[in-house]
Amino acid sequence: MIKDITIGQFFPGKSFIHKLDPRAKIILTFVFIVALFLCKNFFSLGLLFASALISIAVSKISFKVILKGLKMIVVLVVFTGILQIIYNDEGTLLWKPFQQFDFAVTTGGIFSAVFIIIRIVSLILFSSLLTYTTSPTMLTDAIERLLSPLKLIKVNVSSLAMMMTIALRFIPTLIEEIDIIMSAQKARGADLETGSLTQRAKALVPVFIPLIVNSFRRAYELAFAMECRCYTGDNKRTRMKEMKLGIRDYTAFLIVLLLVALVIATSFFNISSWFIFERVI
Amino acid sequence: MVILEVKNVSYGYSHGTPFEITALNNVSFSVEKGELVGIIGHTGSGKSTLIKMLNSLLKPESGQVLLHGKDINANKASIKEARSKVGLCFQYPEYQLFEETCAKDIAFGPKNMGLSTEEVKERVLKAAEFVGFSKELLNKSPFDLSGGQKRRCAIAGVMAMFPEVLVLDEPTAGLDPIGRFELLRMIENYRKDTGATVMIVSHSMDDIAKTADKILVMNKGTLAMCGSVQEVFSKADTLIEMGLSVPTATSLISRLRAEIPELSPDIFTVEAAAEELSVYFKGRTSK
Ligand SMILES: Nc1ncnc2c1ncn2[C@@H]1O[C@H](COP(=O)(O)OP(=O)(O)O)[C@@H](O)[C@H]1O
Ligand SMILES: [Mg+2]
Repeated sequence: MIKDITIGQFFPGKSFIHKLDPRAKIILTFVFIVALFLCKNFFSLGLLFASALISIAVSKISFKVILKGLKMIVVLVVFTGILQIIYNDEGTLLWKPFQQFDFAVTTGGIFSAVFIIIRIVSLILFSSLLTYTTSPTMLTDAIERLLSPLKLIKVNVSSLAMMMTIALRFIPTLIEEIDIIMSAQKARGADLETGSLTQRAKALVPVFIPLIVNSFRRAYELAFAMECRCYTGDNKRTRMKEMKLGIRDYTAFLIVLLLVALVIATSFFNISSWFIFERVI
Repeated sequence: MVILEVKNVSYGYSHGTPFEITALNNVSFSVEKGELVGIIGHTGSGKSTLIKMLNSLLKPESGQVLLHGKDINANKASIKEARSKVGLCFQYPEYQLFEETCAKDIAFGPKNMGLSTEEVKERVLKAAEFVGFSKELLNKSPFDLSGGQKRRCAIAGVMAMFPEVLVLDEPTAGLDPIGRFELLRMIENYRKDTGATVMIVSHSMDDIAKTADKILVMNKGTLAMCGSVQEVFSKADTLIEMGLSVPTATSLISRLRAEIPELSPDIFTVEAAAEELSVYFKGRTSK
């Protein structure tokens, strides 16, 4: 069912990760993602993958939920893995099924496939951990803060943030609404699950027209309500909850800094020979 | 004759997440053909979940729903049959209209049942008649109607399938008193005309007292009471504990009874209260 989509969902909690300053979390997630693209050997990748798993364990988000989120990218992961195996001809040849085609499975291909798969999975783990442990409002608040230097070049950051808050706020509402409308049309005998692709696309018309009409209605109502409370995007607003970096955040920064230093050291300087792991890419 | 039977049905939402909740817990009841059943309960007590079970939009995690004695979730055919025989009209159905004209929107259900064009047309006209829609309104866009008209158009869309069991989730929510009264009368018309069974979820104890033959009271996912208007509304204390109330007439009479113990405690509608009081005062003046 449509409700099973967990990517982007927020799971409230009280863990170390939940309590981190959302700005710190965004920056750290970003740093991890950059590090994932910088790392060039299994040692550093393993390090990052392990830190993703440890962060998840610390956040106390159940692995079931995480796996459910990963299910959505299975196709992407498998597809990328296969491409890597096809296009990488380095290393020793393992299997060449067709003599006339230039297709061969090599150790290099398998290594790079595994490498890329772990990289993508870690990427998803880090970014979903951010949304799983940070409420959408906190997230947009933090983004607004992080972008606030752009105000200097006359970008209306608070309006952007408000737009984002509203968009995020209405995702669950829309999902719920799709659910209700689908149920209602099913109750009138609409068949949304079987038939050819075109038939199914056509069957969605009775779902999407009310959805769009209702979205416009809601947008008008919201705009009126905001105007009635004298909302204008441009004046300086204060907030109820001020964000403050604390000792927790600095500790997290320190740990990540060390990790990234290790990743860079092993990937760019020949320190990797200190470990038995060889460079892969 | 029993038309619909719900047997030990349980259901929960969001399993495996922190939001897990048991919405229905071992609910059992049966509905006689032609009955008008009122369903009351506090918000979140599982009323909407319960009615979604009745045409297999949700499938019970345990237990069964029987229509004419047959499990509706047995196979695809039985589900399809349940969808056409049990007509479900959700809360705020006006937000589910989508066609260019009301007539087309009302025709959506009968068309999906695979009826011929003539038959669909006939049913649309008949359904329009139930809700008091003129030809002129039928050719209008549903988005140009007033709120109450939209609601009636949407309900006609369900009636046009001529379900044997018509189930409505808070059909009168957000309507003015006249609109409410008219809508209930239309539902009553449908019932009289087709002999159908009707189930209404409502927060208005007055409406329920006036129309229902049987009342189901939901409380925190369980069926707390199931009985006649008299059986249910005579237990005022239990109802109030569940965040519900008794009809206005009942609470008025019960307060009057502190002064005039001769009044009957079994008064549930305004009409009955007026009758009771006039009988009492006539008796007093003749003395
Ligand atoms: N789609 C859903 N996902 C998760 N929880 C739900 C969903 N629908 C209803 N619930 C929960 O199930 C319980 C019963 O809801 P519902 O049947 O809508 O009650 P009612 O109609 O009596 O107000 C409520 O606690 C509600 O929050
Ligand atoms: Mg409800």
